[in-house]
Amino acid sequence: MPRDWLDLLSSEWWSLLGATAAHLELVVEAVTLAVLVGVPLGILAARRPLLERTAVGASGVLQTVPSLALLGFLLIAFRGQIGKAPALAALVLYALLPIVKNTILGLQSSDPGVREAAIALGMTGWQRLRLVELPLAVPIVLGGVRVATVASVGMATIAAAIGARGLGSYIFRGVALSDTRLILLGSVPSALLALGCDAALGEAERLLDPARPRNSRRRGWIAAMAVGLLLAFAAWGWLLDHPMGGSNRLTITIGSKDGSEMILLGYMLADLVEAHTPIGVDRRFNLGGTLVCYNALRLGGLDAYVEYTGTALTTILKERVQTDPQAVLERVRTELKDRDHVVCLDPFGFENTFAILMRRDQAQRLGIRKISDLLAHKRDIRPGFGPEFMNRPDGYPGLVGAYGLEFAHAPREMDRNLLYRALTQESIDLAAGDSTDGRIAAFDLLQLDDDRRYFPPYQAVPLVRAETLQRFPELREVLNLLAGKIDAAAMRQMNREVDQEGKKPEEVAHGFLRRKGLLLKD
Amino acid sequence: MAELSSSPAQAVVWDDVSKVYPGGHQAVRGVSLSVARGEILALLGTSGSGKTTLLKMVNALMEPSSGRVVVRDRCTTEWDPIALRRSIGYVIQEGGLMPHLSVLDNVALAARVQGRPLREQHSLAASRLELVGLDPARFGRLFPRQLSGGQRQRVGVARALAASSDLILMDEPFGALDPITRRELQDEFRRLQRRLKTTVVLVTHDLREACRLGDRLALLHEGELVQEGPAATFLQNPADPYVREFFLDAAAVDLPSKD
Repeated sequence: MPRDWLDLLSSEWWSLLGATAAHLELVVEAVTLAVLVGVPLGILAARRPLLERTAVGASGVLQTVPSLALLGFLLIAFRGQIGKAPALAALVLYALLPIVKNTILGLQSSDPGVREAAIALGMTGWQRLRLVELPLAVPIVLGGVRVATVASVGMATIAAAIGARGLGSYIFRGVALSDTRLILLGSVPSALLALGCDAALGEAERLLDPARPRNSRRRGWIAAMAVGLLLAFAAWGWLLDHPMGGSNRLTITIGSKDGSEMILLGYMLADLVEAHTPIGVDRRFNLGGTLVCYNALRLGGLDAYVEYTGTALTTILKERVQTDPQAVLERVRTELKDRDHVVCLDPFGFENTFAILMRRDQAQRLGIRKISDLLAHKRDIRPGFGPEFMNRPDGYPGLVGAYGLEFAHAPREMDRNLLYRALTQESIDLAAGDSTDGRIAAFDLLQLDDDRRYFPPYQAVPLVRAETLQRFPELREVLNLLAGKIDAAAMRQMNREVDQEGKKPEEVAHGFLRRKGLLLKD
Repeated sequence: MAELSSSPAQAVVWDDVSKVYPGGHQAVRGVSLSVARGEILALLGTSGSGKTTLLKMVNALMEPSSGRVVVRDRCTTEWDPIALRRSIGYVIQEGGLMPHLSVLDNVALAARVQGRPLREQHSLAASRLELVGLDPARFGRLFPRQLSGGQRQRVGVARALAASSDLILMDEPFGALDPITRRELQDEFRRLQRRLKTTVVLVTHDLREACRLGDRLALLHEGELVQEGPAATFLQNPADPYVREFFLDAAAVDLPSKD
């Protein structure tokens, strides 16, 4: 185990350091912007009760918006731009409240004697603000900046859901691939970063507090160096994001939804494009779900990603469930093209459908083999589903209708990727997974027979912007190289290698393409 | 403009001044009073007698509800309040010093708000510190929290003198000090004021301070002027029973400590 850790750490060292720097840079940029907006707003609001109520109220409301919802909204507001811009906007919006609030508080809490003396000296309003009130408010304002910074370090991890660089990508990837090591690799540096920012800003706050005795010169130097070091680290993160020169190479952006299968297919498409064309690929994988990916694709933040036809039909087009895979594909193809100018290429070959899973030993003990067998046990079985399955018409609601399955225990809702482990750890008895997931075999789970043919079989297809295909017509052929090349067994095997054997998805994907001879140019 | 009751000899004149606060409380009732150039007027009274309100009308921190206040032959409403305040020194308890500025910067602040050049600000501040008996080289770089109460009060006076050596308002300036330091500062201030011929309006509830510093006293009670004049007239001809009572009370408390 420790050996294992060292290997992972040494192989990931540089990219981890880069991700930490990018993370910090995002935070620094967000807090700086929030200070530039929040402090003037606080100054204006401090003497105007109506504006104060409005500003504090509005930033308070923003703070209550769930972060993923805000990110999703901003993704659309930013016209589908994946990555930094919407993430930055979200962080700024969250950071505003403590900064505005503390600026107002700092300005309002100055000593009345001092305030009167300032007026009696004949200071103008501006002089009072500049010479007296603001300098005295600095420690309190800095306290707000500190709270905002520490909160932003945590919040910035979530920004990985919309493709922002940073430590969150490790955490999300760890969850998607059920790899605890990756989760720790993301969360430990993030916690350290939060502690470091807190300590450095706390020291700065103490130094700038006029009410405290002067600290020793040495302590001042240490604080200044700590803040300087953090800023330099953030600057390096910025440089990583903005490579000098030579960036006029043509690139497209390929994304993927979360989960190992989606990441694998994303790598394959990206590798194919780079092997067969001079186009560079910006890989933004493991994004937070169908709507993030599809909206980004529709609005231009992504050029391509892999989607399931059934998901496109029910979640994107919001149409009724159909059971004929070919009909679904045709319907999706025409509708997406007409509605959103999105081209649906050819299926990879395997079919994927929702799989209702149980632990094999429990299923055998209870004599359950097909979904309708569950009816006799619906009082005792404890189900757990992912959020998407819970809400899709072809998910839980439809399942209840088709089989009359009303479980006595309300289904537990948890991340799709955590379901498998929850099932083996017996915290739930039943889950909905993907039929191609490698963990079904690995955890010795039983896929119940869908005896009423409720779940339609879905095909995985690359979705590409029509505009991108017009710019690079050769992409159509390249992205279709995988058409019909991946059967269910191959997909399951690759998923298993990633989920169970801890192999890197990029290596598994590359290996598959090489074995199929798809990387060679003809 | 109707002839002001002030002659050039008067630095400040309160002309039938009243003050009613928004809540309806009447703090000052029809007070007429004046301060001659170069004299110290002590506004004496218990808390709530209206003495601070009268004082704050002089530098336009407050406005009279009726009547008018004339400073240097101009009604306060004709002054630009910023310019008026810059031309008047103001000392409050504990000095009202800025905790984030050094002693020198605190004193220089008076010149700084007037936009005078930095060199001038500092030389003025240093000379004013010397006037109040603080060595600028030794105290200039210290911060208010590093000073004793008496030293802080001296800095407060130095800052007021930096704004104007012509007219100074003081609100219980020595109230927070121990008796020995207070007396020392009072005596020094008296000498300084004589030398500079500064006009001073002093608010105090301490009869001994009023007598020691004031050329003239004005006793206020519930917003009304009860009696004014040199200290001796209060003892010889008390205007009404309250004056007598006030003096006897103060004397009774003070008797044991009389030298």
